[in-house]
Amino acid sequence: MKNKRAQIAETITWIFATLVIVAVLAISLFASSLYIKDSKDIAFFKRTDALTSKSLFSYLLTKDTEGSTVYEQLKSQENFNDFNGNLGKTIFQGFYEKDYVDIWLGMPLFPASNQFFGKRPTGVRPAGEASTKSTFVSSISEKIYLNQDKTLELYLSGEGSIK
Amino acid sequence: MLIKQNNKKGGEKVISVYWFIILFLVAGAIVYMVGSFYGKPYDVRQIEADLLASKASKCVSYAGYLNEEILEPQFLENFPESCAITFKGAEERYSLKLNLTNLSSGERLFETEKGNINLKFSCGLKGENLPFCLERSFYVIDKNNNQYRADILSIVGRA
Repeated sequence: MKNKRAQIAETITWIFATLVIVAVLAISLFASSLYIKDSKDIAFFKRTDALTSKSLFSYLLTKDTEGSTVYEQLKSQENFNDFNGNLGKTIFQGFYEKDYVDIWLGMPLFPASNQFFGKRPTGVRPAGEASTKSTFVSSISEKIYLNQDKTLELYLSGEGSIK
Repeated sequence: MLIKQNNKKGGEKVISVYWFIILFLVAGAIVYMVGSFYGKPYDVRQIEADLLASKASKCVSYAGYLNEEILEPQFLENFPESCAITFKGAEERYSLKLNLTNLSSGERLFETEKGNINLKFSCGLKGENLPFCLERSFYVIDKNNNQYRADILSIVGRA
């Protein structure tokens, strides 16, 4: 008890240590408040689109002036005619142009192109084209089986990322 | 690290440095855990708006044909409850607008809007706290082969 120098030195150390601890906690609270400020965005790309499916079903049920539905026409004919081709273009390109980058309607097996929607997109981004993360494009493919060898496909692709 | 046994004072000083390192590590871990658990709420307004539009479309069109019940005034009066959608308890956050137009004549058959109708004024503006607006359309026919365009505007505000 005679020599109080050691006790004074220890007290000063702890005063300094307390200040450091308070500073560290203050920094950590400030860092937390900065870190939790913004909200997380969820990047997603749907694998199905209820609205385009509904449009596709209604499109296939639409009758021409002779009373034949688009479904019957596509089943019996090799490719689109003026009626169903133009109607398809009006619906799918007209309604969904702002929602998707590529919109294609046709028979993917044979012939894989038509005069209204052109050639079916491959789903692979061409080299050199600006891409987000991968070279593959996120896409939705809606298929209607017309007969054993024939399928009608509505292909939609966008920029979102798959989660 | 070599510390002579007879120099205990130096040893304590070295150990206190380790204590401070541990203090920083603990503080850093707390920041990370608090941030990942409580911080940055997920923004699911886009998904909510999409679900709202899908639900409304199911009400308008069934098996490719127009649900002709929607043309009755009673149905529109009770919209969106008549489509099994309810905004109860969160009316301020949601808005749903639905209209049906004849494709050939351009005639608008009906237009209805429910929820917080003021939200639509923020559509097209940019800002973090502004509501999310989703405008979608689809094609539908009735049993008489009349062609229609249904437009849905679903808006979801911040919680």
